[in-house]
Amino acid sequence: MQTHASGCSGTARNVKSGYLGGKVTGYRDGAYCEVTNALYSNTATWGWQVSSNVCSNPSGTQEFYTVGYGAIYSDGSRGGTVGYVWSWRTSPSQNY
Amino acid sequence: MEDRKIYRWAAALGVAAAIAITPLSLAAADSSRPPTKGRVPAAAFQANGNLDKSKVPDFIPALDRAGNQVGYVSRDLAMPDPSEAGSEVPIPVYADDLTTIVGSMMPGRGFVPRGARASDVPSFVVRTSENP
Repeated sequence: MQTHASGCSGTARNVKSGYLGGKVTGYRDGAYCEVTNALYSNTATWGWQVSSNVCSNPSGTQEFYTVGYGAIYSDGSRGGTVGYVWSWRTSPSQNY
Repeated sequence: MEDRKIYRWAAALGVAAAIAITPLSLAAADSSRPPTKGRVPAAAFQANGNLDKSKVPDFIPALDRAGNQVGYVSRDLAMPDPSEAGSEVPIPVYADDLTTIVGSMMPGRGFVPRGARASDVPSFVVRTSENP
């Protein structure tokens, strides 16, 4: 399963400068697969995405979900989290 | 800057402490029942993107990169509160008895068996790009 962690929802927050961070966990048929490292960007753009294979894909239909967490950082330091932004999920049943 | 350093260390120590006392902490938190284990029901993944942890067992199966079940991980560590979601700390993987540690799930690498070095397990590829 490859996940694209790009969709988001939640409360917008304004910061003068800083980093956006994201992290994605994969679930296959309700079992925990893998979690990415927390990934960060301070790119001056309207969006960025993370894609990674986090669950294996045997034959047949599985229920895939990804759960992501995002955060904003008060400056270049990754320790200065000032807000939790969103979580999301992917479409469940897939058979590639 | 000093406050941020303190925050970072406090968060790391908090997660480490959680790992050190799990699952005993779960038993202590609710001694009226043994910890539950099982898969995350689809109903827990809500359409609005939120995860309903109240529908998730205390321990959930963990898979290695090949998709084989290797043990169980604590729900609370696998699904951390948002304030701890950025942690890079591995979480322990327990045997079926929910006590014996058989390895850990490491961010960016997946399952690392007990006794193995994390560096022996290749990290998986993550791509980032702008303007999805």
